[in-house]
Amino acid sequence: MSFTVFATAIISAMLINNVILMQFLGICPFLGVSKKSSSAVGMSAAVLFVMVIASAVTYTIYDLVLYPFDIPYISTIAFILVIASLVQFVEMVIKKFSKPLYKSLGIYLPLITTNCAILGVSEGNITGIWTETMPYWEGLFTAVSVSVGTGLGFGLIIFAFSSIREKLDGSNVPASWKGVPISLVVAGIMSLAFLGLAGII
Amino acid sequence: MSKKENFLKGFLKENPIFVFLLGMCPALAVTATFETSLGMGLLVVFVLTGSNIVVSLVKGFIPDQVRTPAYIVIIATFVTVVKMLTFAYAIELYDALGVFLPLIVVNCLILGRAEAFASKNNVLDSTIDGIGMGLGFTFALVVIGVFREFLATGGIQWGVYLPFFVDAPIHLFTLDWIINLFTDGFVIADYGLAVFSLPPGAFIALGIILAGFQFKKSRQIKRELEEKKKLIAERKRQALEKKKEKALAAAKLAKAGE
Amino acid sequence: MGGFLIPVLVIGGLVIVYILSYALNKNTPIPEECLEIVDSTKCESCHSFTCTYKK
Repeated sequence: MSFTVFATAIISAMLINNVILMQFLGICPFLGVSKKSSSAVGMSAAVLFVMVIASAVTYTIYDLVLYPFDIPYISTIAFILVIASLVQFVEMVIKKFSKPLYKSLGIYLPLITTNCAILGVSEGNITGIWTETMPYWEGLFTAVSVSVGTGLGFGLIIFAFSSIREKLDGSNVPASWKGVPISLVVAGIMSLAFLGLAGII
Repeated sequence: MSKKENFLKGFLKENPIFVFLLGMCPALAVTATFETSLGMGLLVVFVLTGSNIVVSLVKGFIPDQVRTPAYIVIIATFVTVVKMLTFAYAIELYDALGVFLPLIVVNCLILGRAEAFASKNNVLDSTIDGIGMGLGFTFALVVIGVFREFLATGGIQWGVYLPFFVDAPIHLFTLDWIINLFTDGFVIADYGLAVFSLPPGAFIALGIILAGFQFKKSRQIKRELEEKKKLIAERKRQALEKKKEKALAAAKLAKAGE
Repeated sequence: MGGFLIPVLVIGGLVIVYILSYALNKNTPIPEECLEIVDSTKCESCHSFTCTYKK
């Protein structure tokens, strides 16, 4: 549990292994929501929030329940149920106790229940970080660091892309490339740029 | 809708990826080669058909409020089965698909079909719908996979990830021999666009294919518009002629009256 | 038998937790001043299936 672990996890999850451009998780909100910069910020804040809680909870469940009882094969079913109920619960709590918070990111919460980025990070934590000998707290710390980095990377790309998209709306795109195709090509060029960051750690 | 239409609609008319843009994450992530695309597609066919059958069987017993959780559990069960089967029989495919194998659970296509089709139709129709839609998804993945692998390596390989029917990996198709008719020692793999096997290539390849689909669609719309215009012009001409005839007849009548 | 019971119990428990949280969330009203920002017509983006705005 050190700062080095935290910083390494953040940089590698945010820039090198970017969740959208390198791992292809969360493409739907990337193509759909990111039309306005303001909604992109709200969306990515909600994703970051849920992602951190979800990866902590799923890691805990895997390490303390599924593995000791020798039933790791139900992890997919367990994780999707945990994430779905977690989002409902978080939305309820925010609705009840914090109106400003609900105003800023509440409307994006139900959208991200099945955002594959969240389930993907939870599964990735198990395959990438979890080992039989790793102490619980150390693994939990790494998993949370990775999910913070992933959430920040998601926000970075969504925000950058929404800015490009606002510019793109005013430009003269050929009819057959309008909409999703040109967005995908733009994403490909962004991905090409992020490929250059491989190997800085 | 007849059974054949029900089966065929997933390929082009209601293709999940090219038309509805569902399941874009696997369409980008696992299509680096032809084999991984085919493997992923077949797994989705299995999960989709299985969940469609079970959902249409139990549709009468599930209260409306707990529909979604029940569907999630059914789909996740099938995904777990598929995960174990892949792990047992095609470990290379399991490693190549990685996190996208459990992520079949959140593939919007599967729950979408369960909610929109299987919960309203009988078992036979749901089965046909599941197989058809799944094969449409597979078709889209294979198109992207062939496009990418061909541009990246100049050929299509078989036997690396799906080690069935062959003892060692073979090239199903390459362009080497055509050029080797004229020169010696040409290896097309040295001239491949390696970027198409990397993440940026995935975005660009899917963008190009979708643009092709939009182009075809816009051409079709244009053609229909032109036909409509022609039809309207024809009608106008006919109406004008009728008017002229009437006017002529009236003039004749008037003349006869004089 | 024990190898069969535990996973069923775990999944059953999680399903109950999900249904409970779903019901709780449904029964909590949206704060009044936030009503206008919840605009279901703007939801065209992700095809998330548990979206509570769909209906």
